[in-house]
Amino acid sequence: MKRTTDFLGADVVIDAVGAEADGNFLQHVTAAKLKLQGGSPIALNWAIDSVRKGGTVSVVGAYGPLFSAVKFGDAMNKGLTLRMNQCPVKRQWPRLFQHIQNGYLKPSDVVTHRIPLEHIAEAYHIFSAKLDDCIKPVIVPNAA
Amino acid sequence: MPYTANKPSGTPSSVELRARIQGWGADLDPKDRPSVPRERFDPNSTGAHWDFPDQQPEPWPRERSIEHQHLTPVFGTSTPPKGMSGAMRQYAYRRFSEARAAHWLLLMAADRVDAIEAHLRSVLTLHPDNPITETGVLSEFSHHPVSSRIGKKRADLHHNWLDPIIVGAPWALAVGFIWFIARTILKPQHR
Repeated sequence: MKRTTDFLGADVVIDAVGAEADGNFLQHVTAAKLKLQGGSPIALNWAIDSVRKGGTVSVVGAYGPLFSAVKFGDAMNKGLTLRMNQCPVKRQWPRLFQHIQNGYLKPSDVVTHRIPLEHIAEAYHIFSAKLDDCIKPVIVPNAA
Repeated sequence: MPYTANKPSGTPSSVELRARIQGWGADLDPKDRPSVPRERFDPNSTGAHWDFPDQQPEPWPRERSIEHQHLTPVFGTSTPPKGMSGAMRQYAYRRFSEARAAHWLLLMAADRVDAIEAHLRSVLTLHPDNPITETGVLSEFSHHPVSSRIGKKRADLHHNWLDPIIVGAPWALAVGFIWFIARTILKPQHR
């Protein structure tokens, strides 16, 4: 990523992962397993690392209320702009729906599994253990 | 190039990106964005027919943040506090603001206590909890447990060994504890 941006970093980086981010054992154990952080900020720290100085980090990944081990000093010293929010769905969805109608977005592309509601326990395990490359399961009520 | 006055090279133009990615830049013009203008004071646009919502009846003293002047007009009633976990939750809300770690740590401890209480209650019913069938772990057999993990470059693989311990240890400890108690009670007393 740094190579493709002349080793400067990207202008804007989006953390779309949030609390469940993986990739660092210590962060994972303290956040996901011991719940001593409000989320494992691995994706957020990677965003801070990979954006250029003075760039913008936009966070749509969700975090919990407790503190997290975020590289805030790096963000401050790089002069970053941090933008974040839960999605204001009611305001955004009519426009997003237009993008779907125009064929710009196809949400069904990410759906990997459709599972009847009766098998919810198995569905949850398949999802959480990422069996059969499960990314986005859809639970179907009354599938029978 | 870094360290020179020039802007980074190689950034594709809007025209190139639009040709490559269908719909790229569809919201480039601010007038197409739902969040522009940022603030519009238009109370009639929300469809709400109240100025301040009617206060929902409070069937029990609902635990609430001490950072707020009063209870929110609308609140959840699905999980009334009960037992030891309820007492812990009420104490966490009454004593500690949500700015304090103690507030959240107490609430998380109360969740664990609640789980134990629910398991104990289930033992007293005709349909006790079954961690084998109800966790869905049996789906491992039918959904390629090995090929789903090996050779997939999954970031979670290096800590997967922790999961059976974290999920199984409390059950093993509970069974061990029951076995220990039963043995102590049933053991013939030597005189």
